[in-house]
Amino acid sequence: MVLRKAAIIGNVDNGKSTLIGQLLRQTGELKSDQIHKVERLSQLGGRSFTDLSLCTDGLETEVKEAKTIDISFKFIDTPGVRIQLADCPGHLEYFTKTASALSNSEVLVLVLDINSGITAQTSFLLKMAKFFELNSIIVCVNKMDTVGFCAATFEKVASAIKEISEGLEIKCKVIPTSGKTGENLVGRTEKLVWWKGETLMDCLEKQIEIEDKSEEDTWLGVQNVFGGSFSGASEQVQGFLLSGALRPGDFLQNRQTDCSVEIKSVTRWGKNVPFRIETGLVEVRVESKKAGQLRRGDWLVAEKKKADPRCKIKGVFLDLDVGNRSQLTVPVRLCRLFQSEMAELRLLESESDLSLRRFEATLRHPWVFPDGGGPRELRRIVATDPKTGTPLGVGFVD
Amino acid sequence: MVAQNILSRLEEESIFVIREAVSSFDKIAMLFSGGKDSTVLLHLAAKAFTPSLLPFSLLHIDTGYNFPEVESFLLEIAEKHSIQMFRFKVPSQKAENINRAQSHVLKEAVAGLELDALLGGARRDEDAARAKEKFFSRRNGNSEWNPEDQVAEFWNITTCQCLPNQHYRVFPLNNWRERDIWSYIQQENINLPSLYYAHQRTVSPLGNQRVRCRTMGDQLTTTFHPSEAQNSKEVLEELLESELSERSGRLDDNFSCFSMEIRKREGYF
Repeated sequence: MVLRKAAIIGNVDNGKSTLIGQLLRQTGELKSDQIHKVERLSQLGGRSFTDLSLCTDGLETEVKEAKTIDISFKFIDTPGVRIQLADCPGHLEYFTKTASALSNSEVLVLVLDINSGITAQTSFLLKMAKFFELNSIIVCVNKMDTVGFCAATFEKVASAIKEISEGLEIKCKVIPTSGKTGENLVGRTEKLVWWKGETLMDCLEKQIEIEDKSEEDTWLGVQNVFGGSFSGASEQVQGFLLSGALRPGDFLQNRQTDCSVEIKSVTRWGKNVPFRIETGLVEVRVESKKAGQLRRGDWLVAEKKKADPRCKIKGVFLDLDVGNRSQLTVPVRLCRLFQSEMAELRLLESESDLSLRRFEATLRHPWVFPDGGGPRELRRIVATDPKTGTPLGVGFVD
Repeated sequence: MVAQNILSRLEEESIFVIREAVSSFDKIAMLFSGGKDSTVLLHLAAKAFTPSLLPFSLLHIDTGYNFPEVESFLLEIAEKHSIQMFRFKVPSQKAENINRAQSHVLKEAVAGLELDALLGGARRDEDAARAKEKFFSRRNGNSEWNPEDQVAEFWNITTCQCLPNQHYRVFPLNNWRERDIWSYIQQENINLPSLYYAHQRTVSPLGNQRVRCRTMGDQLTTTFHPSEAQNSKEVLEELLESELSERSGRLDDNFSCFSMEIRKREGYF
């Protein structure tokens, strides 16, 4: 069984939570006591029917105000696949939370009310999907029950979506659904006899290709260093292999300090792996001329590869604080994998889009970046407010 | 390239979070109840730091009503991992609601040990309030959880910084389901308190019969159900047949529709 991480997004009241509740019921994930609880919550919330959206909107405020205030995580198991669903808030005031779910997902489900069709927020969400490099999108044209399951109405909305997504170069699958009555989620139903395409579960179960990064340059991030128990200039690194391969006897260069280290052994959870090519966590014992050369946030790369530390960075930035922004230059704490640094962030003027802008920043201490190409992970940044820790925006460094 | 199976992915994710937590905070401990989830969490932490000893201590909140099987298990674990275990006890005069008094004791423990992070074995799949949890969950000076004041988590980038009067609860097992926990117990041959397997016990209203517990609290909150499952493989088979959710039998979850949320807001984990 493999794991798929999916985010479900959409405008307010387009029926995301209800659709998930229905999906959980139809896949047998809702146990009898949980159904009973949803019935009790429906009564508490003054609903005249069993409101399946309460399977995910389980907080007191959410029940009383009938909205989603933060992501809920739900799980569906089928014989071949585990789907980990992030039910996202639709309100724009909680967009930061939705954005974080996009960053952590492999598949996106966009739920759209057939009655409202495509709105400015739909285009915005598709643009966000593009920003987070989600290239596989399932669009549920939802609430089909309210238009009498009419094929022509569906086709009209579907072709409008296809047009927008083609413009954004996003591949998307458009399917008709009804969360409330449960159509086209898991199995085929009589009400949608004209529909010959896939159900939502068919789409979610589709395998995705995993990139093989073993032929690329080696990039090993240092998560932690344990020097203590080894003698001489030998250090135990808890590392994260982003690409390439690790072989005992090979030399790696610490680009931050220009010191080179020799790989003595490679283990995973303490068990020897003589040759590591799969990306992921690993422990590496390294030896260098001088001890104490490595620390968290260092990046070890294959020797002779050009990758220079720099303080001045620029790129594209998603402003999550756009509503409160009074000035374009702000002090921030910039974070990326294993590193954080105080910096001055300057957003560049933009006439068309206030949330997606170009940025420039000056770091107090330099960070290493690959010269062209290299692992995407190194280019992802999160800017937080140094006083509160709240994320102000996220971006990609050029 | 072949995709990793679920257990390997979950294992790696949890070890990543445990290592991030240890490098992000100065004073950190792990909550340990002796239940299946905290035992799996401890096993993962031991893997994360092997061959070194664990770089933190355990914290056990004792309501005064631990099962004897749990008491001996706690001793066994501390010895096996050569790890220090702090025990904080709920005062007996607060007996009218011992379960909720735990939150208060937990708060005192965090303050007393000056912790800025506490690892715990809670999982999103257990409950609607836990389904909202982050890996790094922020608590205010009173240990209270405010779901509207959490730090959004982007990619695998850890941004948390401990501001004055705050601490974090860290949940490396967030994405594990009950059956993952049991599959992992089977795969890794992890030892658990015997209460999790079929044994003879007198329980009301069933009388004396073979039962086991599905989730384990103390003697006041744990319920037992009839079972013949003697090992992790048989427990997994039993779970497939079950018509009830994991925590359906927990007495402490049923005082309101929002029992878990209310307790989390009070400082429970």
